Amino acid sequence: MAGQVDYKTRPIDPDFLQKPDEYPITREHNGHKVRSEGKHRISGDGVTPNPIANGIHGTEVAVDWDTCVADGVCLDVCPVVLFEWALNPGQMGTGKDKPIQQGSEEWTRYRTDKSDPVREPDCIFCMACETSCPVQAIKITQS
Amino acid sequence: MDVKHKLSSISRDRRTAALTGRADRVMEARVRLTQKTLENCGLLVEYVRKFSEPIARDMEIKHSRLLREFEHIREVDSPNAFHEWIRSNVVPVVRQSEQAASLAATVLKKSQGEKIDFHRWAKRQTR
Repeated sequence: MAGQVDYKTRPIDPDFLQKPDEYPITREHNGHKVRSEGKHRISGDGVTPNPIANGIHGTEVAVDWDTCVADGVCLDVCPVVLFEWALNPGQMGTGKDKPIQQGSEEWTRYRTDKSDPVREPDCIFCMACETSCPVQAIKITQS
Repeated sequence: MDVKHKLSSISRDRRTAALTGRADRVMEARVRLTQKTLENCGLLVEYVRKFSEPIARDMEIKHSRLLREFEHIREVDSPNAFHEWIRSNVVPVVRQSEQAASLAATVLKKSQGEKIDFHRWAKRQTR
Protein backbone atom coordinates (compact mmCIF):
# COMPACT_ATOMS: atom_id res chain seq x y z
CA MET A 1 0.00 0.00 0.00
CA ALA A 2 1.31 3.45 -0.87
CA GLY A 3 2.60 5.37 2.10
CA GLN A 4 3.37 2.36 4.27
CA VAL A 5 6.15 -0.20 4.54
CA ASP A 6 6.86 -2.91 7.12
CA TYR A 7 10.11 -1.38 8.40
CA LYS A 8 11.22 1.95 9.83
CA THR A 9 12.55 4.07 7.00
CA ARG A 10 15.72 6.13 7.33
CA PRO A 11 16.00 9.59 5.73
CA ILE A 12 18.36 9.83 2.74
CA ASP A 13 21.98 10.59 3.62
CA PRO A 14 22.47 14.20 2.40
CA ASP A 15 26.21 13.58 2.06
CA PHE A 16 26.00 10.43 -0.05
CA LEU A 17 27.89 12.06 -2.94
CA GLN A 18 30.89 12.60 -0.67
CA LYS A 19 30.94 8.91 0.32
CA PRO A 20 31.70 6.92 -2.85
CA ASP A 21 32.89 3.89 -0.86
CA GLU A 22 29.61 3.71 1.02
CA TYR A 23 27.50 4.65 -2.00
CA PRO A 24 29.29 3.32 -5.11
CA ILE A 25 27.67 3.78 -8.52
CA THR A 26 26.19 0.40 -9.34
CA ARG A 27 24.35 1.05 -12.62
CA GLU A 28 22.43 3.55 -14.75
CA HIS A 29 18.66 3.61 -15.02
CA ASN A 30 16.42 5.88 -17.11
CA GLY A 31 19.30 8.29 -17.73
CA HIS A 32 20.41 8.68 -14.12
CA LYS A 33 22.97 6.97 -11.90
CA VAL A 34 22.03 4.41 -9.24
CA ARG A 35 24.18 4.11 -6.12
CA SER A 36 24.47 1.34 -3.60
CA GLU A 37 21.92 -0.94 -5.22
CA GLY A 38 22.11 -4.45 -3.77
CA LYS A 39 23.46 -3.26 -0.45
CA HIS A 40 21.14 -3.69 2.53
CA ARG A 41 21.73 -0.46 4.42
CA ILE A 42 20.68 0.13 8.04
CA SER A 43 17.02 1.03 8.49
CA GLY A 44 15.54 3.80 10.59
CA ASP A 45 15.75 1.80 13.81
CA GLY A 46 19.54 2.07 13.58
CA VAL A 47 20.07 -1.67 13.98
CA THR A 48 18.13 -3.77 11.45
CA PRO A 49 19.12 -3.77 7.77
CA ASN A 50 16.49 -2.63 5.28
CA PRO A 51 14.67 -5.65 3.82
CA ILE A 52 15.08 -4.08 0.35
CA ALA A 53 18.23 -2.82 -1.37
CA ASN A 54 17.18 -0.62 -4.27
CA GLY A 55 19.78 2.09 -3.74
CA ILE A 56 19.71 5.82 -4.43
CA HIS A 57 18.43 6.90 -7.86
CA GLY A 58 19.78 10.14 -9.31
CA THR A 59 22.58 12.55 -8.43
CA GLU A 60 21.35 16.17 -8.33
CA VAL A 61 17.81 14.89 -7.80
CA ALA A 62 18.37 11.85 -5.63
CA VAL A 63 15.61 9.55 -4.41
CA ASP A 64 16.49 6.86 -1.88
CA TRP A 65 14.31 3.97 -3.02
CA ASP A 66 14.82 2.20 0.31
CA THR A 67 13.15 5.19 1.98
CA CYS A 68 10.50 6.03 -0.64
CA VAL A 69 7.02 4.80 0.36
CA ALA A 70 5.15 5.92 -2.79
CA ASP A 71 3.42 8.81 -1.05
CA GLY A 72 3.42 10.64 -4.40
CA VAL A 73 3.62 14.23 -3.14
CA CYS A 74 6.93 14.77 -4.98
CA LEU A 75 5.27 13.89 -8.30
CA ASP A 76 2.43 16.29 -7.52
CA VAL A 77 4.58 19.24 -6.44
CA CYS A 78 7.37 19.14 -9.05
CA PRO A 79 6.88 22.17 -11.36
CA VAL A 80 8.82 20.54 -14.20
CA VAL A 81 7.26 17.07 -13.86
CA LEU A 82 10.57 15.24 -13.67
CA PHE A 83 9.35 12.22 -11.65
CA GLU A 84 7.44 9.19 -12.88
CA TRP A 85 6.39 6.02 -11.11
CA ALA A 86 9.10 3.39 -11.55
CA LEU A 87 6.75 0.42 -11.81
CA ASN A 88 4.12 2.35 -13.76
CA PRO A 89 6.25 4.13 -16.41
CA GLY A 90 4.73 7.25 -17.91
CA GLN A 91 2.35 7.65 -14.95
CA MET A 92 2.65 10.60 -12.56
CA GLY A 93 0.87 11.80 -9.46
CA THR A 94 -0.72 10.57 -6.28
CA GLY A 95 -2.70 7.39 -6.70
CA LYS A 96 -1.12 6.45 -10.02
CA ASP A 97 1.48 4.19 -8.43
CA LYS A 98 1.31 0.50 -9.23
CA PRO A 99 -0.45 -1.39 -6.42
CA ILE A 100 1.75 -4.19 -5.11
CA GLN A 101 0.38 -7.38 -3.62
CA GLN A 102 2.00 -8.28 -0.31
CA GLY A 103 4.16 -11.40 -0.70
CA SER A 104 4.56 -10.97 -4.46
CA GLU A 105 7.95 -10.84 -6.20
CA GLU A 106 7.64 -7.06 -6.60
CA TRP A 107 6.76 -6.70 -2.90
CA THR A 108 9.87 -8.66 -1.94
CA ARG A 109 12.01 -6.38 -4.10
CA TYR A 110 10.34 -2.98 -3.68
CA ARG A 111 7.56 -3.06 -1.04
CA THR A 112 5.91 -0.09 -2.83
CA ASP A 113 6.21 1.62 -6.20
CA LYS A 114 9.04 4.17 -6.30
CA SER A 115 9.40 7.76 -7.46
CA ASP A 116 11.84 7.79 -10.38
CA PRO A 117 13.68 11.03 -11.37
CA VAL A 118 13.49 10.27 -15.10
CA ARG A 119 14.03 13.87 -16.24
CA GLU A 120 16.72 14.83 -13.72
CA PRO A 121 18.40 17.44 -16.01
CA ASP A 122 15.15 19.46 -16.03
CA CYS A 123 15.39 20.25 -12.30
CA ILE A 124 15.12 23.96 -11.45
CA PHE A 125 16.27 23.33 -7.85
CA CYS A 126 13.16 24.70 -6.20
CA MET A 127 13.49 21.99 -3.53
CA ALA A 128 9.74 21.54 -3.28
CA CYS A 129 10.05 17.73 -3.52
CA GLU A 130 12.72 17.55 -0.81
CA THR A 131 10.75 19.67 1.64
CA SER A 132 7.38 18.00 1.05
CA CYS A 133 8.45 14.33 1.15
CA PRO A 134 6.93 12.87 4.34
CA VAL A 135 9.79 10.39 4.86
CA GLN A 136 12.66 12.56 3.60
CA ALA A 137 13.62 10.24 0.77
CA ILE A 138 14.82 13.04 -1.54
CA LYS A 139 17.97 15.17 -1.57
CA ILE A 140 18.50 18.00 -4.05
CA THR A 141 22.13 18.97 -4.69
CA GLN A 142 22.83 21.82 -7.08
CA SER A 143 26.29 21.31 -8.59
CA MET B 1 19.41 31.50 -2.77
CA ASP B 2 19.34 32.29 0.97
CA VAL B 3 15.96 30.59 1.22
CA LYS B 4 17.30 27.46 -0.53
CA HIS B 5 20.29 27.29 1.81
CA LYS B 6 17.97 27.69 4.77
CA LEU B 7 15.75 24.88 3.46
CA SER B 8 18.80 22.62 3.16
CA SER B 9 19.87 23.45 6.67
CA ILE B 10 16.42 22.75 8.14
CA SER B 11 16.32 19.46 6.18
CA ARG B 12 19.50 18.41 7.96
CA ASP B 13 17.94 19.29 11.32
CA ARG B 14 14.92 17.23 10.36
CA ARG B 15 17.09 14.23 9.48
CA THR B 16 19.03 14.45 12.74
CA ALA B 17 15.74 14.58 14.65
CA ALA B 18 14.42 11.54 12.74
CA LEU B 19 17.57 9.51 13.40
CA THR B 20 17.41 10.26 17.11
CA GLY B 21 13.72 9.36 17.27
CA ARG B 22 12.60 12.90 18.21
CA ALA B 23 9.16 13.02 16.57
CA ASP B 24 8.50 16.45 18.13
CA ARG B 25 11.65 17.87 16.55
CA VAL B 26 10.79 16.27 13.20
CA MET B 27 7.40 17.99 13.28
CA GLU B 28 9.01 21.28 14.32
CA ALA B 29 11.42 21.02 11.37
CA ARG B 30 8.55 20.27 8.97
CA VAL B 31 6.74 23.37 10.22
CA ARG B 32 9.89 25.46 9.70
CA LEU B 33 10.36 23.98 6.21
CA THR B 34 6.79 24.92 5.31
CA GLN B 35 7.25 28.41 6.73
CA LYS B 36 10.34 28.92 4.53
CA THR B 37 8.52 27.42 1.53
CA LEU B 38 5.69 29.94 1.98
CA GLU B 39 8.25 32.72 2.37
CA ASN B 40 9.78 31.60 -0.93
CA CYS B 41 6.32 31.67 -2.56
CA GLY B 42 6.01 35.31 -1.49
CA LEU B 43 9.31 36.08 -3.21
CA LEU B 44 8.10 34.32 -6.36
CA VAL B 45 4.95 36.46 -6.37
CA GLU B 46 7.08 39.61 -6.36
CA TYR B 47 9.32 38.24 -9.13
CA VAL B 48 6.36 37.33 -11.34
CA ARG B 49 4.83 40.78 -10.70
CA LYS B 50 7.68 42.29 -12.75
CA PHE B 51 6.29 40.42 -15.77
CA SER B 52 2.55 40.11 -15.15
CA GLU B 53 0.44 41.91 -12.54
CA PRO B 54 -2.67 39.73 -13.13
CA ILE B 55 -0.78 36.46 -12.65
CA ALA B 56 0.99 37.86 -9.59
CA ARG B 57 -2.35 38.94 -8.08
CA ASP B 58 -3.80 35.48 -8.62
CA MET B 59 -0.75 33.93 -6.94
CA GLU B 60 -0.93 36.49 -4.12
CA ILE B 61 -4.53 35.60 -3.26
CA LYS B 62 -3.67 31.91 -2.95
CA HIS B 63 -0.48 32.68 -1.03
CA SER B 64 -2.33 34.88 1.46
CA ARG B 65 -4.90 32.15 2.05
CA LEU B 66 -2.12 29.64 2.74
CA LEU B 67 -0.46 31.98 5.23
CA ARG B 68 -3.75 32.28 7.15
CA GLU B 69 -4.30 28.50 7.13
CA PHE B 70 -0.70 27.88 8.18
CA GLU B 71 -1.15 29.87 11.40
CA HIS B 72 -3.92 27.44 12.34
CA ILE B 73 -2.50 24.14 11.06
CA ARG B 74 0.93 24.66 12.67
CA GLU B 75 -0.76 24.44 16.07
CA VAL B 76 -2.33 21.06 15.24
CA ASP B 77 0.02 18.43 16.61
CA SER B 78 -0.65 15.80 13.96
CA PRO B 79 2.00 14.96 11.35
CA ASN B 80 -0.62 13.20 9.20
CA ALA B 81 -3.03 16.14 9.23
CA PHE B 82 -0.15 18.49 8.52
CA HIS B 83 1.02 16.39 5.56
CA GLU B 84 -2.50 16.16 4.16
CA TRP B 85 -2.81 19.95 4.38
CA ILE B 86 0.50 20.27 2.51
CA ARG B 87 -0.65 17.79 -0.13
CA SER B 88 -4.06 19.36 -0.68
CA ASN B 89 -3.34 23.05 -0.22
CA VAL B 90 0.36 23.92 -0.33
CA VAL B 91 1.43 21.66 -3.22
CA PRO B 92 -0.79 23.21 -5.96
CA VAL B 93 0.23 26.76 -4.99
CA VAL B 94 3.95 25.95 -4.79
CA ARG B 95 3.84 24.13 -8.11
CA GLN B 96 2.00 26.97 -9.87
CA SER B 97 4.24 29.65 -8.34
CA GLU B 98 7.44 27.85 -9.34
CA GLN B 99 6.07 27.26 -12.84
CA ALA B 100 5.10 30.90 -13.32
CA ALA B 101 8.46 32.15 -12.05
CA SER B 102 10.36 29.61 -14.11
CA LEU B 103 8.46 30.56 -17.27
CA ALA B 104 9.13 34.24 -16.64
CA ALA B 105 12.84 33.56 -16.08
CA THR B 106 13.05 31.38 -19.19
CA VAL B 107 11.35 33.96 -21.42
CA LEU B 108 13.63 36.65 -20.00
CA LYS B 109 16.68 34.54 -20.89
CA LYS B 110 15.34 33.99 -24.42
CA SER B 111 14.71 37.72 -24.85
CA GLN B 112 18.35 38.27 -23.92
CA GLY B 113 19.46 35.98 -26.73
CA GLU B 114 20.01 32.75 -24.80
CA LYS B 115 19.14 29.59 -26.72
CA ILE B 116 16.18 27.87 -25.04
CA ASP B 117 14.75 24.49 -26.01
CA PHE B 118 11.10 24.73 -25.00
CA HIS B 119 10.46 21.17 -26.18
CA ARG B 120 13.18 19.50 -24.12
CA TRP B 121 10.64 17.96 -21.73
CA ALA B 122 8.62 16.30 -24.52
CA LYS B 123 11.79 14.81 -25.99
CA ARG B 124 12.40 13.00 -22.70
CA GLN B 125 8.97 11.35 -22.57
CA THR B 126 9.43 7.77 -21.45
CA ARG B 127 6.14 6.65 -22.90
